[in-house]
This record gives sequence, structure tokens and C-alpha cells, in this order.
Amino acid sequence: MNREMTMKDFDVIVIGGGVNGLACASYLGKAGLKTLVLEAKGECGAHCDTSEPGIPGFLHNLHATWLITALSPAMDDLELEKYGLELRATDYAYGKTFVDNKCALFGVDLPDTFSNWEGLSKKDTDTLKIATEVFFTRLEEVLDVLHKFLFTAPDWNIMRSFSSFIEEVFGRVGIKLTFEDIQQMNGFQLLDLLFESEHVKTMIQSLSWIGAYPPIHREVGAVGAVALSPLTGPIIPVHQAKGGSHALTHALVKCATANGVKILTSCPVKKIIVEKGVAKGVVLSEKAIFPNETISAKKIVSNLTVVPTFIDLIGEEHIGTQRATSINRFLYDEQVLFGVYYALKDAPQWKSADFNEGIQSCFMGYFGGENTDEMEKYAVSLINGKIHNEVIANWFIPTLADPTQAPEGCHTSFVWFDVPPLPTKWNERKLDGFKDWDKIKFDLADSVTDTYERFAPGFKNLILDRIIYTPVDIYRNNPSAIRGNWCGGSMVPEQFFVNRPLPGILKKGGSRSFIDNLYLSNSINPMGATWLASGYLAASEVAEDMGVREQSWWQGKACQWYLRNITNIPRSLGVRRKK
Amino acid sequence: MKDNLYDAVIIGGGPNGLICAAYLSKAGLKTIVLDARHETGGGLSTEEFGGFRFNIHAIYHLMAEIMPAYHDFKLWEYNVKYIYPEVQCAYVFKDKKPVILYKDPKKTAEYLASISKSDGEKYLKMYADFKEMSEKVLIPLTYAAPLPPVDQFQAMQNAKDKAGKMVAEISEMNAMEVIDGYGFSDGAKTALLNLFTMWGISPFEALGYLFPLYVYRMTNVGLCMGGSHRLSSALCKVIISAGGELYERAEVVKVSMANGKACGVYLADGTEVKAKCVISTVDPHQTFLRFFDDGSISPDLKESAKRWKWEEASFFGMHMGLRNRPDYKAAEHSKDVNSALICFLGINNMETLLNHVKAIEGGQISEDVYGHVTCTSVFDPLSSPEGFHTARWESLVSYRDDWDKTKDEYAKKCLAKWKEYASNIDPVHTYIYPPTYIEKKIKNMVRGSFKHGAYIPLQMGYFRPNDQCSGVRTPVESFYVCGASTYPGGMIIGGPGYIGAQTIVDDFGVKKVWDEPAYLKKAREIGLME
Repeated sequence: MNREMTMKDFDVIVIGGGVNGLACASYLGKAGLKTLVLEAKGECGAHCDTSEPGIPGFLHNLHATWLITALSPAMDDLELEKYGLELRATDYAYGKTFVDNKCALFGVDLPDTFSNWEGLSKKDTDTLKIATEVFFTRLEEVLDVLHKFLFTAPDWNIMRSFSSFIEEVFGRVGIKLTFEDIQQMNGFQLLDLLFESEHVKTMIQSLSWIGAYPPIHREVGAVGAVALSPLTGPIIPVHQAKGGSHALTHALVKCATANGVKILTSCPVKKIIVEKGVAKGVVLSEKAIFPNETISAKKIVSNLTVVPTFIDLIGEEHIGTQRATSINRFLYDEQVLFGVYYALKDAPQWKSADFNEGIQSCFMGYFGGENTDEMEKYAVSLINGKIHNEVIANWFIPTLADPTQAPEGCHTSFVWFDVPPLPTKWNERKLDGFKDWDKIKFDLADSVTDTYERFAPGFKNLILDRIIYTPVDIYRNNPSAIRGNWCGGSMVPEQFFVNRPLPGILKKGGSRSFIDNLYLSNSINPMGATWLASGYLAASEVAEDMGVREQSWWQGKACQWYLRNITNIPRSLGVRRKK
Repeated sequence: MKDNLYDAVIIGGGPNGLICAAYLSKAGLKTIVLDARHETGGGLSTEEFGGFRFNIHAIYHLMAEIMPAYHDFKLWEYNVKYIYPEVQCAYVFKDKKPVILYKDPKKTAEYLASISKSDGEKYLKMYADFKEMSEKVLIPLTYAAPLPPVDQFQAMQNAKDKAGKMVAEISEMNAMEVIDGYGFSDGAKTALLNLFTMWGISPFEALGYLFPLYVYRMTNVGLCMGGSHRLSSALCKVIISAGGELYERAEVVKVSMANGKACGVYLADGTEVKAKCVISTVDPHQTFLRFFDDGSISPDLKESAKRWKWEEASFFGMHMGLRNRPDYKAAEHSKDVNSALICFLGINNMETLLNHVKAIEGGQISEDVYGHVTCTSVFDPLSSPEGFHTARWESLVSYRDDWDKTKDEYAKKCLAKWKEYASNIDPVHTYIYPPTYIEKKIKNMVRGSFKHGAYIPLQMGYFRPNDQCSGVRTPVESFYVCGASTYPGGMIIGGPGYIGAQTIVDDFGVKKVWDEPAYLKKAREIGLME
């Protein structure tokens, strides 16, 4: 018997139950709007999930894994802890390990960072100390700028506010640079000016890179470098969640549900109904649980990326040929991720632990790219569509922070290698783009394992299981992530900040699209991610337009929760102390 | 969590724990569910990997919409939708016509008659009998607390409907005796008996009364669109919407007691959760041996838990992403084979079936590989990415400690066997799931016991988990049990959780804001239960 869904008329429909779609819906539901979330997959949180694809008991986070939710206003506004989100840290938040057996670390506690950097460059340590001093002196102002940059509509005035802080830091280090100068640089250039040690420079380059801000780009790379050293280096809010990344998704689902939001999964949307330039509702796919169902709403929020939203769900008829052409040229093809996931008998032992034991208490880091030249060559490979010959990659050991992600005494680890989605070459092997991932994945995974072994001898003997996850898998997991792009589209200067996604798509704000009553919570500034920024922004603008933005509980600011709770977050629960 | 006083704390967020919690929350009781895993749902697990949805445990939901919970919570509003494929089962052979069982008994009868003439009429008679017994007796009894065996027998014998007597007549028989009563040819008999034995239930144990239910339901199987996990996910939302709470990665290690009464639980991390009552939906070893120290419950409860028998048989699973939809050679006989929800491969005749039963009883692995296959994407296009298919091979096998080592070799054999029947099987992704993985994934399923414990008369019916805990209440005040290791048992039936909830709500004296299903009302009217 076919049963009908009785709720039909909604205030808001959110297309896509990713964490930003859920965050948006939670805010709006809590503000009293009748809200519906429609998700194509079986469960929400396509990019923030935790599963058991191998030996049960070993949890693998195949998508988001270093959570930056600690700096989100949602921690307070949505009371995510109440819904089961428990963050976990390690004493060191990030570490790059080198062939010379040294390591460059960011500790959660500043003295630990300084102590590590002293062994790399006294000058750079002094620079960091100056930056930190300016940071803490102007903390309120810095946090205000950060909040505006992440959680409000992009505006050049925000960048100008950044600039006085940055200029002070540079000035006190003896570098005369204006923010306008900085905007003309890329991350490599900026870091060359700011720091002297290749260890320090490449560590910050890598952190910016994995945060979706490739250092090779003018302005984008510079912003990334500056945001991650002087700006958030002192407080680096990256965490694991107890039980895996999907604890965030679950908390948001529970929060949304508790606030009256209806969530329907296995209900892909095939069309956004647009009449005379106004979004009116959606039509579900014939494959959905409610096939071909039409649902109307006053406001539609799309959590899909920009091309599926406008080209697939709306169509040229309603957006015009000029805009359609421009949208079709939206870039997705910068780096995507090749992932290798391991179930381990024990935690890896880094060679560079001899230099600083802290790296053994660090749940994420990087290896490869010993100096700026090598990192630049890597960036060039990506631009040229080549999988880089050497594995230069991001590693994680989530169980050091959250031991519940593996059976007692065991560990999980994984490596994310940035790769071009449409590879043409790997070493001497010619490749034919996206479809060839299945061909090379095993060999490439072996290469990743070999590299890990080099930096952590004995690693191979620890391996109980290995799972490979390619850009093709990322795409099949979520077809809105075109060619596996995980950040809503390439972060290149033309698609950055006020330009994001493209000029002319947004009007009057950071999420209101040129189609009335259609808002975007993806492919906008700053990008999606677990700080829940794009969902927050869409929620803010929908709420403003519906006259419900003023809420006593909707007051959270960036980092507010984190600064109150830094010392409460358990650290290094999975690190075995040396006797 | 730790500062609250709950009305009820439920240990285990599998289907029964969730159903129980949903009813209690709806009744206005402050309820909290605690699950040790990172994900609730227990056997309703669907793992999504690169766009493929793999139902790791339950695919065939035996009761589907018959579960009171489905209607009481309007689960279709939470995107739980069942479809009932027209072609239910196809027993595929190499050398003869397949045996096909349709949802429509007339179609099945017509088809069976084409193989062996008298089977047609016999099927219609059997189906009518089984349907009547199921709908009037066995299904209602699934959702009501059990009576002691003698009383239950008398209630059935004296019921104001002949269906009661029909069940009473077979209640001491085994499944083999029940099916023999219909005189089917070897082929049809094998196909029908296998619907029971495929679940690891012996055809020689005096559990014949279950046989009609299994045959009736296994020819009316519901597939949960979107994946089995949709059911547990929906129940979670019902609980949260009704004000309940749910925590994952919250492993219970002890029940806390005060003055001989259960008053909460302790988690592995030391947190205490206080409640007016405690409900365990997990297996008897955890429930009676782990959660209670010696002295806090009676020695014979502990003894009965120690005597609990795990299952002899478990499942070996191969979950696959395929490039092609399986095309069976047997489709030359009837194209319906390719639309069957379940294809049985290698169950050729009674001799084969009984050899397998024997092998399992002896803890052996048959040389000869056999199994059943479901290609969910044929019915549910969201099971796989565009252009691919998702299928599961499943074999009933003995539990052995060395499955981790032998799984890859065994999987090769299974794949080779499958290809003998459908040469176009072309996997793009494979996940092998042996009995030892079942045990690792879900703590209750010791030795791969997917029903939480053997289906043998000594621990079935009134004796599940033991005769002191038959009706959900236990000798420990404010402590209840209602999981797969309690009456009426495992599988996706939503029975224990429902019965548990009704009892607990009664004990709290709060109003039930739901109606009893019509079939339960009728069962009372004919005197099957009070």
C-alpha cells in the first residue's frame, strides 16, 4: 500500500542533509520555522560519516575527520554537546615529520609549540611569539574578524579589518608589508618572508593546503598561510569526536529532530520549481521513497554544489543562457583526495619522535615535501593533472585522540594524498582521467604504505586491514561532489571570498541567490566544512528574511565555546605513555 | 545525562530497544537509550561505501508492516517504506526447471503444478492453512507475553476458532513432520523446508509451530526501501521527537542497585545514569553475568544464563558492488528467476538440504558450497550508484574460530559457485563478512548468533531467556528484559520490544496513546490470551 506523507507545506526546504544543511535546518527549526531536510543517501552527513568498511570494531572516517566545530557558534547556539557531540584532542594538534628526522609541531599548549620550534629556528620561534602576543592583545578584535569572515556575508571591509592585525604582526617582525601587498602574494611567497625554517614553512604550507587553501594561489594561499600561523596557530581548534566524525552528524540530526525539523532520507530531489524567477518548491526523484512527490515551501536552501543546483535541478530555461554558461565553467578540478585507511595492531612509531616525543601525541600531520621547492613542485604536478611521483600527504591517527574508534590497544590510521581528479600520469604510467582510478588504486596505495614505513619504520608490521577510497568513491558517495571535490568547488582566486561561487550568483548577502527565495549553503564563502559556516550563513539570511533572526539563544560567536572549554576537552586518551 | 533521573534506561539500541524506547517516550516517560556501538540499529545495519548500500545483517524483514510499531508511529512518514516483490524465491538448479515461489499463492500453485502436478493443490491447501494459523494465532502471539506452555496449549486448543486447534496440533511436532503432512514432491518440499532451515533452525527440533509462520512470511517478504537501517533510523527520530534521548558509544557495564532494586546503570567510562527502571535488550551473558555482581541476583538466574546455548549456525556473507545485474542461466526456463528477491543456489533436493543440516550440527563446513543471493538494486535503485548493482551472497555455515583466516578462500568458492549459475557476475567491490566478523561487530551475537541464541525448545517460547523472565519482568525489581534473547525471539519482528513496552507502560500506570492492533484484539476475543 502506498502511503502518503501528510506534511506538505513547509516554510523551508533544505536540499541535502550534509552537516551544513543540517545545521541550517537546526537553526531554522529552532527559530520556529517548519523545516524539511531532503537527503539522497540513506543517512545524512555524506561528508561527515563513520563506518566499518573492514574488520568490525575499527571505525573509519572516510570523509571529514579533523573537526573544526569547536570554533563554530553552533556549539553554543545548538547545544551540540547535549546531543552527544564530545570532542577529543591530543596534546599536539598538528605535526609534520621530515626525512631528517626532525618534526615541526603545533601544540595545543603554546609553550609546547615554542619548545618544539626552538629546535628548528630561534628566529621563527620569536616571530611566532610576537604574532601570538599581538593575537592575545587584540584577541577580541581578532575573534570578531574571524567571526565575520566565516559566519557573515563576505565583504572587503572584513579583509581590511584583518589587515591591521596582520600589518602589526609583520611590522613588529621587521617586515614592511600592507595587506594589499599580501593579497598579491601566494602562500609560498608569504611564508618565505615571514619564516626562515623550511620545517616551519612547509608545515604551515601543508596545513593551509589540507584546509582547502592551496599555497600556490595568489591571495587564497596567502590568506591560508596567515590564518593558520599567526591567526589560529595559537589556538588551533582541531579535534576528533568520540565515536568518530559522524558524532557531529548524529548530534545535528538529533538537534534538528528535537527542534521539529523533518528529515527524509533516500529522497533525492530532481527539480527545484522556479516560476518567474522565484523558487517555489521541489520535486522528488522517481527513485525516492516518495517518488515524484511535489513539496512546496516559502524558502529553499540548496546544500548541493553550484552546478547540480542550477544546471541539474533548475535548468537553463530559468537561469538564462549567459548564467548557465558561466556556471558550467565553475571549477571543481583542483585537488581531490586519495585515501588509504589502515586497521593497526598498535600506534605507529615516528622516527622523528627522537627529536620530539610530542609527535607521538599528535593525531594529525603530514609527511613528504621537505622544503618549499618540493612543495611547489607538488603543486605544479596537481595543476598539470599528474599524480605526484613522491607521496606527499596528510596522515591521521584518530585513535590517539579517541581510542573508541578501534578495539582496545589497536589503532586506526589513514593517509590522504592530494591528487588531480582527472589524472593523466603517475610516474611513467599514462592515465586516462577519472575512470582510471580503479586501475591504479592498489599500486598507489602500496606507494602510500611504503612512504609511511619510511617515516614510521615497522608500520607495515602493524597493518591488520587496509581500505582504499578514491575520488571515484567520493563522487559515487555524493554525486554533488563533482569528481570527488570535497569543498564545494576549487578554491582558486576567481572562486574565492566575494567571488564565491562566481560573480553574479549571489545578491545581497552571502547565500541569497539570484533566484528569489533560493539560498545556497554550499559553494559559498568560506566553504562548507565542520565549522558549519555555510549552513549558518544560509540560516541567518533565511531567518532575517522571514523575520525570525532575533532569538535569545542565537548569540554564539566564533571560538567562544572553544575558549571556554579548551581545558575541558580530554587529550591524548589513546596515547600510551612511555614508562 | 548524568544529572538526570530518567523513568527508564534501555540498554541496547537495536530494533527491540528502539521500539521499546519509542513507545515509552510516546507515553510520556523520560527515556534514554544507551548503545555500546558508534551506531544504533543493531542488526538493522546498512553500510554505505562509495555509493553502494550494503545491508550487513537483515535484508528480509519478516513482519515489515505487520509490526505494530509501523502503524503506531506512522513510520512511512519517516521514510520507512516496504515493497513486496512479486517473485519472492527462486530455487535455481543447473539441470532442471527452477522452483519459484510467488507472493500470489495461485501463481505459485500453477507454477509448482507445472513441475509436479499434485503440488499445485497441495500448495494452495498448505498456504491457506499457514496463512490462517499465522494471521489468527502466530502473529498475534508474537506481540503478546507468553503463557506457560500448558496454558498456551490449552488456550489454543480451546480457542473459539479452528486456527487455534490447528496450531495446537502441530505444537509438539518438528518442521519436517509438519511439511510431510502435505505430501509434496521432493523439489517443492525442499524449497519450503529451506525457508525455515535457512535461518539456522533445525527441522528436527519440536518447533514445528514456527514453521507455518516462517513459510507464510518468507513468501511475503518485505524489503525496506533505502536499506534496513532506515527502520532503526526512523525509530531514533520517533524517540527524539517524543522527548527521548539516545547515546551511542555508551557501553553499559553494570546495573546499579539500591535496596534490591535496579536504579540505573554504570557506563564503561564511569558515568552513572539514574533511572526508575532498567531494561536490558542485550544477550543473557551480558544481562545476567556482566551487569550484576554475585549476590545482587539469585544464583539460579546466573546459572540459567551460563547454560544459555549460542547458535550452531551463522552466516557467511559476501557483499558486492557489481557491474552487471545477475543474469541466471535458469532464466531460460522462466525469466521470473531474474526478478526473484531471493535466489537459492545449490539447494538441489532434500538430500542436499539434510546433508547441510547435518554438517552444521557437527560443526563442519560442507565441501559443497550453497547459498542465497539478493540483488537489492533490482528493487531499490538507490542501493547502488548509477550504472551498478548491489548484491549479497549469504551461506548458512558453522561458526568456527578460524573464519578470519579462511574467509577469503571460502569467498572465492562462493563466487565461483555463483558464476556457475550466472556467468555475468563481475564485482567492482567486495566486502566479506564471516561469522567471526558478526561477533566482532555486534557484541550480542556471540559465535555469530544472529538471533542472540539457539532456537531450541529449552530456550524458546516461555523459556526465552528462562522461566523466571518470561513476561519481560524479572525477579529483580524494576529490571526488565526484552531483546532477541527473550520471547518471542530474534529476526526483524519487533516483538520483544513491543511486548516489553506494553508491560512497562502498564507498570508505570500511564496511558497508552496507541491502540492495540486489530489482530491482537481478535486473538483476545477468541480466547488465545487474556
